[in-house]
Amino acid sequence: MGTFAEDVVGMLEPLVGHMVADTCVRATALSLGKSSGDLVSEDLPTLTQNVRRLLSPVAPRETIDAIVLRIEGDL
Amino acid sequence: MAAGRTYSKRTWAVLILGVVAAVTVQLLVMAGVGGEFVSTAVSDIGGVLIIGTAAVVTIRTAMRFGKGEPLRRQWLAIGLGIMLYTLGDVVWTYIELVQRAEVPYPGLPDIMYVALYVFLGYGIVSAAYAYRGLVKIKRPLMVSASVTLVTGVVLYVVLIRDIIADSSVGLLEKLLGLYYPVADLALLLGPAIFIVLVVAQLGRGSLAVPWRFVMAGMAMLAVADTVYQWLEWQGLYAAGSIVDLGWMLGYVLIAVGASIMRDLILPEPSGRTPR
Repeated sequence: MGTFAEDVVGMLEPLVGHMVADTCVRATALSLGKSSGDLVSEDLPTLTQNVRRLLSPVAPRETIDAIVLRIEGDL
Repeated sequence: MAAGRTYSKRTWAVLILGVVAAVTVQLLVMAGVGGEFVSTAVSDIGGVLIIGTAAVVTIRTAMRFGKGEPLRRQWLAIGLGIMLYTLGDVVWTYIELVQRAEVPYPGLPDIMYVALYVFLGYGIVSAAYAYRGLVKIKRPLMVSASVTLVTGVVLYVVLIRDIIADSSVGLLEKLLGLYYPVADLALLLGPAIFIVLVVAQLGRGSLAVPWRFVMAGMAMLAVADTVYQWLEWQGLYAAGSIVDLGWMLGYVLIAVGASIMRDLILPEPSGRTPR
């Protein structure tokens, strides 16, 4: 099992590819003044908020909802 | 998950039936089955049905997104662009088959054909621009602009220069003769290259797949349009020309892209299945 950040990237990757998935995670870490590797499950609300904000212009809302639900359920 | 590479029966149907229908229409017209009038009817009506279906598929995808969703606006613009082409073809068909007259150039269908570029171009550019917070868009913009410019220079030498120099045609005909190839480049080919370079940064991400089909379709349309303009200018174009197949396949590919985008809509967390 990987770090929290790696797990989130793994869940986003099939939809948006590795680079964009990594961007979502790094943007969250940056907004919290952390590095990606320092993210923990307590950062989940900020992470899901960032995922919604960054992906909503390019991905279907229902798909984002389903992925966010999966992240919240699995992590 | 649908974000994997499993596509719906609808998507496969759009792809296979669309390609088979387009090729069948083309073969029937080229074979001249039933004489000249029947061939024209098959070409005109076949084109309307195939491209009209592509418009419906694309608009249905757009309507599947919520009212405030950017994807709805992007796909609706593309779908309306295809619908405008279909309406232009309906008028064309009416003139040729019902009035049994030669379609004037410039004529009523050109109003629709001119307008469609704005919708298609807007849909593609706004879709690509939506990625600005996620990937680099400056380089794709510069590359697509450069390719468009170079192609424009080639087009100027091959076609546009002759159109401008020809004193035997009227101003409106001349303006349209210039508008189509320029719009093909600036509003179809350029934006298509732009978005495919933008989504290339998604790597194997499934969100990139619909736009690759759209890019292929747009490129096919741009080539078909340009060849048509050249043939028309040389007085060589006739119904059943291979460029007709390019138009039909181009719009079919865009509709396939739209259908794949719809496949990417995952069921809501409540378990409600997609419409």
